[in-house]
Order: sequence, then C-alpha cells, then structure tokens
Amino acid sequence: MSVNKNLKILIVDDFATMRKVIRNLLKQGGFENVVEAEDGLAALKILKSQQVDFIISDWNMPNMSGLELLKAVRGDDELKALPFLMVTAEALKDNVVAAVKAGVSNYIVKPFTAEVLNEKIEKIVKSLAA
Amino acid sequence: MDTTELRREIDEMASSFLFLEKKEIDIPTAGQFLNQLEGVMGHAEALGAEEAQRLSGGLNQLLEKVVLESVDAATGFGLFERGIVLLQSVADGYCNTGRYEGSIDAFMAELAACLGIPLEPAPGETAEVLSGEAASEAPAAAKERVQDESLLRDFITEGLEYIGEIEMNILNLEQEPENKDYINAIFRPFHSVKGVASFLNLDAIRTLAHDLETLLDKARNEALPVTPELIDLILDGSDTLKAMIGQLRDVLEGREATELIDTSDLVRRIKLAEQGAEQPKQPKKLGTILVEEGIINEDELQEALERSQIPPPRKLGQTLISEGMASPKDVSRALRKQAQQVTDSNTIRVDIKKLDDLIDMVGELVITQSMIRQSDTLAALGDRKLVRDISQLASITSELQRSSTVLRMIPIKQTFQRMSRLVRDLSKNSGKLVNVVTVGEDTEIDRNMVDEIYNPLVHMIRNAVDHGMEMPEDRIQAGKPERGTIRLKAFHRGGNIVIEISDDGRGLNREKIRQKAVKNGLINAADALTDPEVNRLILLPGFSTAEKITDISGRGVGMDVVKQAVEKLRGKMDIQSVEGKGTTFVTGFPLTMAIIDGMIVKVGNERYILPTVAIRQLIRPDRAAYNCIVGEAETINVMGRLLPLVRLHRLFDIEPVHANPWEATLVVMEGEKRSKCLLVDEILGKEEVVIKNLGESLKRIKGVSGGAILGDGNVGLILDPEGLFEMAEAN
Repeated sequence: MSVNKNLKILIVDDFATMRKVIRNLLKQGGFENVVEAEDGLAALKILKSQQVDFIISDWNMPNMSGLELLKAVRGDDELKALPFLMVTAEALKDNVVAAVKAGVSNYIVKPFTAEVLNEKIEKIVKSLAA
Repeated sequence: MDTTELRREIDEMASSFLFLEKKEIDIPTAGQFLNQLEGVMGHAEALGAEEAQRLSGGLNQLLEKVVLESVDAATGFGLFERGIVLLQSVADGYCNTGRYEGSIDAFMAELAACLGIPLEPAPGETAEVLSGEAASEAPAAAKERVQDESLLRDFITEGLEYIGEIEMNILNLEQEPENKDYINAIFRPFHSVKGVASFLNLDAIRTLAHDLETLLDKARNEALPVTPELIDLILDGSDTLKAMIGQLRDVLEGREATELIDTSDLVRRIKLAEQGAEQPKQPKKLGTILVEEGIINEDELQEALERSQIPPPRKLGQTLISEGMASPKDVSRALRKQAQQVTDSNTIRVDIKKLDDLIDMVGELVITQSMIRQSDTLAALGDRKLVRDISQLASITSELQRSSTVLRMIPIKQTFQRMSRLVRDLSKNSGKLVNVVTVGEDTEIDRNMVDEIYNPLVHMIRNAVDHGMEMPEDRIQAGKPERGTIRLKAFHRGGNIVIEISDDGRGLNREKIRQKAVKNGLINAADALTDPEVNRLILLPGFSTAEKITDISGRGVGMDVVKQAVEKLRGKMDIQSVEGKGTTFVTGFPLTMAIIDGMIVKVGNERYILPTVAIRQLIRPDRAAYNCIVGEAETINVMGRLLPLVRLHRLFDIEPVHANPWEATLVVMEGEKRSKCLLVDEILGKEEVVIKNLGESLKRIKGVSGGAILGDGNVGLILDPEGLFEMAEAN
C-alpha cells in the first residue's frame, strides 16, 4: 500500500526559508499539495477554514509554539485525529517527551533528508490506516 | 485515594497494552502510556507504594528512551510487557495485603542495564543528537544537497532580518534580565538560523548558531545568569553570524570572497561562559508575586518577612499561611507562577497594514462628516435637532480620529535602545567611557516615523561620541568625571516629538567655527553673529568640506546632511552648546507623517495647500516694495531683503484674480537654502489635512507632494516649496 501523494500537508514554521526547505523536500517525495503557516495561530486559522490531512510543525515559534499548537489540535474535536509531525532541532528529551505525551504522531530531527521525511510520513499514515 | 484506584489504573494500562494492534510501541502509543504512567507514579507516591513507584518510574524512563530511539523498539516492547505484568502483581499485593511480598529487584536491575547502555540507532534513521557536542559533526544524511540558489538567497535575507531582531531584544533583556520572553526572542533567531543552515550545509554558521543557542538555553533554564558579559558575548556572536551570512551573500553575488571569518576565539569564549558560572538562580520573590496579585500588601509582606526571620526560621509561604494572611491556594498559585515566571501581557499584535487601513478610513470618515456638516441643504432645512445630532457626530468622529491615530503610536523606547547599543559599540571602539541616560522613553511616536528618524539620530549620536566626547584622560584633566554621559531625551511639545541628544563633552569651539566659516566664504569676517547663529553655521552645506574638521571641536561632519534629512520629515533642528561643557542637538519631528498642518490658499478658482512649517510670513507689500528690472527676475523687498517673486498662477497656468503683488497676497516661503515670495490671490484658512499620495503615475510631479480632501469634500493639492522654487528657477 502506498501513501496517497495528494495529502494536503500544512507546514508550520516562523522561518520562511525553513518552510521552503521542507516544501522542497516534500516535493522530492512527491507531495505537492502544501499549505504554509508562520505560527501556531495562523495554522489554527487554516485548519479551521480548510481541509488539511497532515501537519508538519516546528517546535519553537513566536505567538504559539508547536507544542501549544499540538495541544490545541488534540483538544479540538474536529481536528484531534490529524497526523502531527513535530520538527525539532535536537532530540532533547524534555521536548520530545512533552510532545509525545501531548499526542504527537512522530517527530523528526533537523536536518533531515527527503527520504527520512517520507519514511516518517508513510509510517504515520500507515499506522492510522491500519 | 486508595489502592484499588491504583490497581484500576494499572489494569487499564495493561488492557490497552493487550489490545495493541501491532506488537510495537509507536510514538502515539508511547504518549498514551507515558500519560498513564504519570498518573500511576503520582498515586504510588501518594500511597507510599514504594515498589509501584520505582517500577512505574523505571517504565517511564524506558518509554522515554524508546521514544528517543536510544533503546531498540523490540527490546523496549518486551521489557515493557514484563514490567506491566509485574506492576499488576505489585498492585494486587497492595490491594490484598497492603504490601508486596515479592521482589522487583531482578527486573529493575535488568531495566537499569538496558537503560544504561544506549543501543545503536536503527539504520536509516538520522543519528540522534542528544548533546551539544555531537551536533558539531555534520550528519552524513544532510550532505545530500538541497542547496539551490534561491533557497540560499532566502536564507540570507531572512537570516539577516532575524539576527537584526536580536539586537533589539537583547537591549530589552539587559534591562530585564529575568524576562524569559526576551531570552526566548533572542534564542529563536539563532535556532531558526541554525535549522536552515543545517539543511544548506553551512557548517560554520550552523555550529556558531548552535553554540550561541546552547548558551542562551542555559540562560533560559537559569543555569547561567544573564550578566553584561553574557550579553556582550551574544552581541559579538550575532555580529559574527551577520558577517558570515554577509560573506555568503558576497560570494553569491560574485564578489570576491573576503578572508574566512575566524570563529575559534568566539567559540572558546562561549564554551568558557557555558562552564563559567553555576550561580544560584534568582526568580522573582514569592512575596513580590503575592503583592502583585493583591493578596497581601507591602506592609504585610514586610511584617511577615520579619516574623519569618524569628527562630526557628520558616519560609515566607509558611508564615503567611499559618498566620492566615494568605490561603494555601494563593501561596501555591504564586509558587507556580514563580516557577513559570510568566509575564502577563494585555496586548494583542495587529498587522500594521490593518491599522493603516483603519486610520485611513477614519480619515475619510472625518472628511465625509465635515462635508455633511457644511452642506448648504442642511443649513437651509433649519432643523435644530438634526444640527445638534450632526455636531454630536462631529465630536465623536474627531474623538475617533484621535484614538485611532494613537493606535499606531509606539514608545520611542526601541529607538533609544538601538541608539544605546550604538553608543556602546562606538565608545568601545574609540576607547572612550560613555554612559547613556535615557529620559522619556515612553514618549510615543507614529510607528511609520520611527524608521525615518533613525538615520539622522544615528548621525548625531556618532558625532557626539566621535567628536563631542573627550578621551578619559582629557576629561580628567578638564576636571570632569572620567566617564562621559550622553543623554537621550524625548518629550512631546505641541504636535511634535522633541528629541534631544546631549553630551557633556568639549562643546563647540565657536572661534574656530567662525574662522572656518569665513574661510569657506559663508560669512564675512566683519559679520556680527550671536552664539546660536555661530552654532548653526555647522549645519550649512558649505561648512563641512573635504579637509576634515576634527580639530574644530569635531562637529560638523555632514551635519548639513542631517539637517536636510530632518527637514525632509518636516522636522526642525537646533544646536545648543557651551564650550567645555557639552553640546545638545534638539530635533523636533511631527508625530505623524499622515497629517499635515496646511495653509489653504486660492489662486483663480483653484485651491492649494501649503505646508505651514515652510511659511515664514504672509504679507501684502506696498507698491514700492516691488521691483522689476527688465531681463531680471521680479523681486519683493521684505523687510530689507530682496526676495524673488514666484507667481503661482504662472507655474500652473491659471487665470488669477490679482496679477499685481500689491493687490494680491504674498506667502514668504522657505526652501532648502533660500526663501521666495509666492504670489496667491487669497488665504482661505488653516486646516489639518490627511495626506493622500497621488498614486504611482503622479508621483514625480514637480511642485506637488500629495493631495488631500478638504473640509468641503473637494480635493486640494499639497504643494512642495522646494519643487516650486526649482520650477520657478527653471523658467
């Protein structure tokens, strides 16, 4: 079974260049249906107004951090089942454990390659489909 | 809370484990178990069920390691399964007999062995970076090039922008070293830069950003105090990063690469600072928080503090609770707050564009209501109630306009902070000792003005430090304190913000300025000038010439440029100076560029708006004051000065009512270097108008700087004196 490449993926990062990097990597993996948000608040706005299938979010952002966004998503009846991939710079125990406890689907450590990103997405999507 | 509850929780965990669809602990499952274990650990502790506590704690650690991939998933799964079973029997024991008969030691030892020896990460996964050290080696996976030029360009632009933010926030931090928000705001740019740099294989940048980030992380976790040295280090670090990114840009733009920036010294300093101090942390005092919350007052706090000192000494919170001054709930809440050190903020962030639009619309509203008010039809109706209602509307709209203009106002604080930073850097470079004192930081100014006034202010600061301030030894010789002071002061006066930059340096040497001005032909040797007039000489364009003037008490480097920049913003500038005591630059700027104080003049059937700041006089001259020499320009004698006459009707090709100056009205206007008389038919009045630009296609029309809707709804053009003068001179 292969993953539907038409998934609509929301990239959340305050650094525009980073969003572009992730977008490019996704493109290499065949995912081209991408929307972007610059922080958690903007992301929530998008999630409320359009159908999104997958969230890739940075950890450290102004206004609303990735963890807060994750909690908001998990606390929302309509959004709580959304796959949520957290991007962190280092696998710092406290951060990762906090995200895991808050219900993150998986996490990925910067820098990563298109293959690793692809693997993580497939893993999450397949475990949901199972 | 009893043991059955604990058993119920453990059983629940066991059953969710049993019903796992796949024989593996993936991340969401691990999250679920971690949450359940948290409950179990808490309850076990509360019940004093020692084995259950140790066991659940151990399983918690195991799951954390599995999540972090430092324990192999299959091993973890097996251990976890056995742990849960063991946990169940421990809970059973407690339920039935109040204690556990068996021993968990063998399992705990096995668990410890597994936790202690991290396994190799599974192939295909990125190497997990658990310590700062490991991060300095580039993960091989990143070697794959995602680097294309446009990404690199984006990174340069955005990275520089982000690092620029650091400067501002660091000055905030210097004032409030305990504010986590500020640390985080500085941390984030480094973090983001590092993240992208790692993708772009910019190893040197990534490593430095990482080191700085680690340093800040320690400060954030209060493992390091925020000292001036730390702040210096961070500033140096951000400067270096900026330089490195700048180099990248040079290379990208095909310029010759400069020598590679050596970061070894910086990195060494960072490492030293990191190990440097394990000083005790100083969070906000509990008492302070309680006083802020209004639970106790300052006097009660002092009293309680004194009583806490009486042996046996107790903690403040204990004293407060036992004396009934605060409830345990209040104290624990305050303690929590102390731990979090949250800073509440009653502000929201709004996109500046939205504000601009709002203010624009309110401007339109004011004009529309004034059109209604002036309507002849309305006056003819003679309905007194309607008139009253409309004047009510008028007062509400003008109130609305006032409050909406205020929305875009921000304190001058940030500008002052940037200038303080500049003084810091400049004085460090020149070996001078300078303190900065700021007064009136909360004075507000239109956000759109902030960037505009920055450059002229920087120039004045530069002058003050470079030339006004003496070297420490000279200051001591002059009987002044070794350390000089630069004062930045802001306040409102009329519709203006006044910014004063004063130093206690050597002041202007008027005699030398005079000599220089005579030499450059600006004045005659015989001219008698007052002191302020001499001071102002340095603002003249001809004053600062190629041969530099540091010997004339140093002032004057490009001061004419500063004056022009100030005047372009419709501001004014003055200098006060006492020799040997110091110099003060006084600049006044309008609070906003959106509104202009205008004089409405009429020529033929056209009406124009002249900026009031440029108007010196309004006169109707005698016939005798008018001179016209054939082949020469027309002039008017204004109090002994012959000023050229500019006929506005001629410039704009209008049929005037009055062609003779002695029948018309003359407006004496001041341009950049000269004054002229503008001939108009009549003056209609003075009005504050909202400036509208005329759009891209009409941007470059000479003599016209913009348009405005007048009180009666018609459009009037705002004239630009300098442009008019140039038009007149060209004819």
